[in-house]
Amino acid sequence: MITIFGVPSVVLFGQLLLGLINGAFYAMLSLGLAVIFGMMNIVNFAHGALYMMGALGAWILLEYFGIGYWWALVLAPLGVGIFGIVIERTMLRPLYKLDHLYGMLLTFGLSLIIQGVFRDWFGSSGQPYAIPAALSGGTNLGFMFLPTYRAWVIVASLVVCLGTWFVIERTKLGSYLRAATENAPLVQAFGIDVPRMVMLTFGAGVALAALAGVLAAPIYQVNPLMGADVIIVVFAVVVIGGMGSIMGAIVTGFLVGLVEGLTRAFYPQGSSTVVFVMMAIVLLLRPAGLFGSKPEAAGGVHVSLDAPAPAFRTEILLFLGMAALLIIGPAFVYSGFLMKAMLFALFACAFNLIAGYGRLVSFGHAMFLGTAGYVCGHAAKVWGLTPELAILTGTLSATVLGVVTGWLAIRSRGIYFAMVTLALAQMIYFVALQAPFTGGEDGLQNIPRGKLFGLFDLNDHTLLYGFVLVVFLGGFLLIAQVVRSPFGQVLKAIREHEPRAQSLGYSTDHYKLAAFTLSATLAGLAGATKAVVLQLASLTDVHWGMSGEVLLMTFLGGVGTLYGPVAGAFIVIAMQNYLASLGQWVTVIHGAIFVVCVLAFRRGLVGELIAFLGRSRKPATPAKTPQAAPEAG
Amino acid sequence: MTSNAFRKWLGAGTALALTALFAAAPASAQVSDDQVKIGVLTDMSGQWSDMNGPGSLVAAQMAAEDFGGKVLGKPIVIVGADHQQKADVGVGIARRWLENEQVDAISDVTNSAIALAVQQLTKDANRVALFSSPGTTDLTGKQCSPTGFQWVYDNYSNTVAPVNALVKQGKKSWYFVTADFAFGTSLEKIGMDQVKADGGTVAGSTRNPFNSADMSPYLLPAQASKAQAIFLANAGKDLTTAIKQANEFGIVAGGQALVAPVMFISDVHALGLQTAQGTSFVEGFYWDQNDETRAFAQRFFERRKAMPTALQAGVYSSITHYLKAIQAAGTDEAKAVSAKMRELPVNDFFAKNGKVREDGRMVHDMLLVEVKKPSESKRPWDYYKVLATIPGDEAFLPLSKSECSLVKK
Amino acid sequence: MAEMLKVNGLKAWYGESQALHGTSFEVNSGEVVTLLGRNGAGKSTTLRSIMGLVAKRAGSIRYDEKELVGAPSHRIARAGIALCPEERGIFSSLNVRENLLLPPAIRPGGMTVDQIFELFPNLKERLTSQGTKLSGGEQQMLAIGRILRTGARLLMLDEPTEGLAPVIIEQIAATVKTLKTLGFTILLVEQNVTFAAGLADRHYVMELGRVVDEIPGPAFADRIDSLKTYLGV
Repeated sequence: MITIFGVPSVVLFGQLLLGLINGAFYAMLSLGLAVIFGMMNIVNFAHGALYMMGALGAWILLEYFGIGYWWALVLAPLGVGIFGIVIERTMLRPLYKLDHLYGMLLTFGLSLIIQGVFRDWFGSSGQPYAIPAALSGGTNLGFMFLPTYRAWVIVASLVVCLGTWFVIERTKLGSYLRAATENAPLVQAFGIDVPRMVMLTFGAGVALAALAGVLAAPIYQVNPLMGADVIIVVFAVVVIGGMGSIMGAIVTGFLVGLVEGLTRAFYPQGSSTVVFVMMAIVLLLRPAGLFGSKPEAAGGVHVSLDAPAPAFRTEILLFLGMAALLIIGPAFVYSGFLMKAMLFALFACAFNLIAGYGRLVSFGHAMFLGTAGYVCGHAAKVWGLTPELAILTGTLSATVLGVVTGWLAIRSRGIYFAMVTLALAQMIYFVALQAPFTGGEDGLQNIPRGKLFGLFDLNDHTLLYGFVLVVFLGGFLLIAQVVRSPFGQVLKAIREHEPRAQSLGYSTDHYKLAAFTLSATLAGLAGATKAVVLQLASLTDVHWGMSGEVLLMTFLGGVGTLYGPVAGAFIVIAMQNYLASLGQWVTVIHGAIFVVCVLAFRRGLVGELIAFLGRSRKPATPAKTPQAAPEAG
Repeated sequence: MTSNAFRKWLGAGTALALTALFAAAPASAQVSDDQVKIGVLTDMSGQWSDMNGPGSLVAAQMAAEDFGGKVLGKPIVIVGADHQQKADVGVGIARRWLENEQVDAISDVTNSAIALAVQQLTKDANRVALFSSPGTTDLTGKQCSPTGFQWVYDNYSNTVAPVNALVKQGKKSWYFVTADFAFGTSLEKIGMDQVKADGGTVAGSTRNPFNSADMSPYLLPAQASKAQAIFLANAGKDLTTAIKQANEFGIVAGGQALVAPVMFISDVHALGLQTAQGTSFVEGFYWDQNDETRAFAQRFFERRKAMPTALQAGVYSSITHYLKAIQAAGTDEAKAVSAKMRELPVNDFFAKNGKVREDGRMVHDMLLVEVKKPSESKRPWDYYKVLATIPGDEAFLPLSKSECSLVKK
Repeated sequence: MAEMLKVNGLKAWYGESQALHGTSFEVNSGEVVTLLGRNGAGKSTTLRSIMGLVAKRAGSIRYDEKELVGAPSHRIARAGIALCPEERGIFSSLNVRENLLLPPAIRPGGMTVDQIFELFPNLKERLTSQGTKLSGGEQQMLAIGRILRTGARLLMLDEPTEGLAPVIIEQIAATVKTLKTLGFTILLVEQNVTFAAGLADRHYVMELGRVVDEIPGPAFADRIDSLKTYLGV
């Protein structure tokens, strides 16, 4: 047996081949994503769910209609493509003129809805889908065994990818697409029905994802969650390759698959994280991506979230009111629920600090919540620190992580920032999965509550509740102070118009990094305290679903308002608790809330309330700063 | 008011107060909160939902109904919840049940990690835990509890017999493909220890993430090692995926033996006899063994449209025994009930001559089964050939080797 | 001469701020008409509004008896209007040939590719170059050239001489004259008053989003002083 660097050649080539197959799927999915992003400036978070629909569609065709694999290759993408077109017409079209973030949020919501519905119908354990007879069996190549079907996957995806590339780069239709990507209004001014072209292109991108799904069905378990984690890897692939480049997406997809395979042969524990490490390196050296040429997409119209600051007296009353409600709360409601809600409210407020006031919407905030929880738990359980010290340690770990990831992520703006934070958080997830001290899937259990300052036994429910209340109110006050401080004002200026703030002499990157770090710290405080209260730190806290939850809470409540995230957190936690019997429908409801919020309800509950109250008073319209209009002739 | 009248009032008032006090004090024949509430904590829709999940809930409901719906005159309430295989969800539900919803016993608890947490919670809260599904031996070992019971199987009972048998047949070198969490790692350790004890060698091991869509990257090193036997320390979907892909990659055709210690009839059903035929493993229960088992299975099938797995039958059996113990103890207080559970023998369709030991392990005869060839199967779900019955005392870890603090040595 | 384009009370907004406050003018078939005015007067906005590129418009734009003020851009193009935008809009991801052939021939009567090459011979040599690799003058030729194929009869040119060398400006002037002889109607926006004077039949002057004055071609020399006031020169 030949070994290469200690690994048997059979294993090496086998893993490379498996990696190549994974790469084929990455390539197809990132291709579709790149095409859609290029045309519509929408980061289609639902791409993974649509891939899943293709696979499940093939299964449904077989199971209920007896239609086999070969027909499914055509019918499933067609069906899903039409579904995509319907979505584009009804939900995505209004979003093109808005900030790209809304597109990402809407498609994120859609992915939750789609996945939730399918999970409800089919369970999450997956259905078997047989390899079509014509492609079964395999060949023994000597250095490894190659199943025929897997070879077919590579060939088919290469054909599809190169075919798509050819259409885009070498045909007239492709020239329309490329031109419309650059300057859609001008192309329309030449007489081409661009909206229809966009719609069909979206349908095609979606169909591509579904096709990948059909190809995947016999290899991977056909299950409603199969797209959920793949989509994040695909995001990383697209960031590595460069958002505008079609060939970049294809080449990078295969490349990443190969690198993963290689890693799996030599250092299996690293195979899940390697793509994110690659992304971090590329961001440092070539921020536009390996093949990227598209300039950073300019932001669209951002809904002004500036709520007029209420009078100071109102503020105090509101705060005291909230505190009073929370103090008497345990008499009426299970204190465990209240504590959990408060900690998530703190998390959401911390997130809102940069997302609402700073307009840096991070899709990876879970990494701070979870890391702090693990570190705090370890400090309390293994090092035996008293709770306040353990929590402090946990919080500091979040600060450090915040500085490092912030420094990496701040290089990107807008939608790229969101994708980079998402990918970095996923890397942390996989590190947490592997690291011995976290307990991996088992979680870090039986974290002792200990004695606060060595005096107050936190196992006493009243003391524990009081402690959590103090932490929450303290954190909230800190955020409120920061927002109204000069620092907060600069942040707002940066949010409104960064170049202008820069021209005034502010080093905007430093401000953004400081805000990001502060947000990470407070999120860490919430996570560390949570670990002590629930006596458990688990992978859920670092999973991207958690980042999605805090986004949900903040948007539902009202981005850019002080109390919005609090309201949102309480509502979402209440839903989790009291609607638990609805099972998957909670996920669907979450998704629906996202969709509704983006389409109709952008200010969130508290935001809309403030706007409503503002309208019913005499409006004193402040002098508006003239919008930056294109050069008027 | 005259002083006489006042004294009468005082006397009456005191008498009233004292009566109320005594009436409120828990008398020995009382049931807490006037109901016996059992929570079935399981995976309702995920990887393992076919082996337990909604079927476990059905089994629990059947147990309550068959017992008459009441014990000591108080109603039996069954609730169920989905922990989605997530530690925080499971712990959260258990905590809420115990702190806020007056649940007296938690049943099933798929997922060894969650089970260990529940064990701690029930121990601290003085409630009962009736584990049907988790495999980790720590539940009756290092982390045993006076009120915690493991009913159907554990990683030891399912590993020792097959490993023994195969090493005797000449499969000396073993490769381990292990699910990377408490269940898998515990299973792997027992397997490795047994292989070495039998004189075999461990050729290597790979950890696979729990819930892997594609097991082939982890099967590849197993194939390359040319080990004579591949021990799949996985269960549920990961296991069936691994078996299917082992076939796809020619591993089985290449002559390596696949060993799947923790396999259930639901897995065989998912794989189909064509793929699963010839596999042998240890089972805690088979529906088609005798008339009693068939009677239960028929009733279960009517409600669930699938035959009960050993885990689901175990839920029925453990809950029934728990209810019997409450009856005998005259209370639902956890320690008293647990004492009775250990005292009473277990004699139902699930286990004949079953006995609950000090460490909480329910010891009963296990079955060594082999999956029939498609031609040998005469009707739906006719899947197993019972090769041998392994007496309980042989199947489970002997008390002398137990790490449980409750066992007097 | 038949009236081809009649703009009446055209208002336009960019977001919340109003850029056109009621522009009115007309262009007759076969004419060359210019819109003059200083920066920010609303000249480009007028062209873009006619083309449907400004989101919020009100008033009336009648072309060939059709009301176009509410129509989407591609229908306006199909009615027979074409725009050569101020920034030229050459696509960097297309080569010269693709750029040239991009606008589809919507109506009969457009020029053929060979005819366009006669007009702009140096384009022929640069067919496979990336669109944006051309010099400023060549890009301008390309921008004008590509709308000639479509069959549009009304050509709107937005500051075609901006940033170009005098020699090139001469060429463009010649081109415009040729196009006029070929029967095209041209609406021209210019800051270069001399260039405009040599070509146009009529001039409109715009200020603060309105047409404030109309100058017939022959009267141009006499009115040059008042013009300079408008232009703030």
